[in-house]
Amino acid sequence: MDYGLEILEEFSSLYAYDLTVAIFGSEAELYAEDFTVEQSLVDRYNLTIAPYTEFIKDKHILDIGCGTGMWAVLMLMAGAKSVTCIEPKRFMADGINVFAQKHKLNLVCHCATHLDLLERDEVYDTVFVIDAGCNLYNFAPHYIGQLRNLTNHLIIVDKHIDPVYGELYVKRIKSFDHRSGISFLPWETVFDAPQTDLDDSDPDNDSRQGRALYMYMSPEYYKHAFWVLDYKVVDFRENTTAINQSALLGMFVFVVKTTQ
Amino acid sequence: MKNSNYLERIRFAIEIVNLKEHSPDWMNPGDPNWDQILDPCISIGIDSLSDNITDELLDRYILLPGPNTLIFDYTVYNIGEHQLKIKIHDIENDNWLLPPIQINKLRIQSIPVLPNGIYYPADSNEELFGARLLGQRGEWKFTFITPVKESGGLKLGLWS
Repeated sequence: MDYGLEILEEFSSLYAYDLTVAIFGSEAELYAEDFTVEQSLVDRYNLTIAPYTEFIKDKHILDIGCGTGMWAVLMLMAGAKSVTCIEPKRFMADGINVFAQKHKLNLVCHCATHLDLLERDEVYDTVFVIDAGCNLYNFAPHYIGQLRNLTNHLIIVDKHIDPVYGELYVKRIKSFDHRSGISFLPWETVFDAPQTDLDDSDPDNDSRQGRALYMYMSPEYYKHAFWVLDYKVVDFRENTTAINQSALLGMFVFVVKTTQ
Repeated sequence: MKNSNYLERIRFAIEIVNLKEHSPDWMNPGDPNWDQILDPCISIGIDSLSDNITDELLDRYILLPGPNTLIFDYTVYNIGEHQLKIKIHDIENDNWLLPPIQINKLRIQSIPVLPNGIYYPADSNEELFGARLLGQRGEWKFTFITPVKESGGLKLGLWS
């Protein structure tokens, strides 16, 4: 089912080169010229955008942790009225804004983190967190609860899943923006997700050295506070042919209605 | 350029720092006539370890005092381990105690990577892991796996 192939080919021909060069600069020109739509990207589109067009079309969208902004552009192509992005890496946020101005897209990116959102007054129809949930380890129920003032629907799609338990894999690594030289330590903020193998009282505990944590983002845990509309874990391990560690192993999809 | 027979095209950027000091004359430390510019012959090449293919280019570079960025492109045809190798062929007044050239940064497709290569001195069988100072005649090698666009460590691309 190559539902997204056509729109991704259009993205590739219209936007991929400019978006890549706007963010990564001329040193990424060769990569930008050779950008191709691979089947794994089509698969991800079919899980990330295609099933949720009712939450995208004619809506104002917020994309938390947008990265390069590719999904934000694809949401605009799927009919979104506007997309606002949040991305803490300065060079990415700046590049997206330059790209959006060049193509006159209703897309703006703020250099901020998800915690900064709570201080903002804007309201959005839908909030997306795509491949960023792994960095938001404090993406716990009460934080999502605070998003009630911000949005009606929250959609979390992530490839960082734990293949054994099929749950969101939360990285515990230091994030560092090489371009600006700014490091931001997500674990410095309050860890309020359910913990199983973490002892924060000991700074030398090996959990500080990057040991995996598993955030139990499952319907059972969240059904008391939210209206779970969709939850699925898709395993791609049998289909992947990629050799490196970033091979797409699976996808985690979690959709909740934050208000009744 | 799409759907060609190559695996990928990679642009490397290597920042080499010319560490040659100012005038050694303690009476005249700021002597403007003292030439801090280096113009070594440097060979930069890629080895495909799986297919025993070597591609190497020898050229003379002008290295101004401080950081200098060398950019070059390479086309990869096969999957697997590759080695970027850099060798300084001649520097006047080279001194093994104070090597005047250092590899400071390495970027692949604009993405900074930790340049944790291995330095092989010419006159010994040592392997100096993590060394960044390049002495004369030795060789510095950095291993990477192609296709780099699928590398989890590089975080390259629009959707990585």
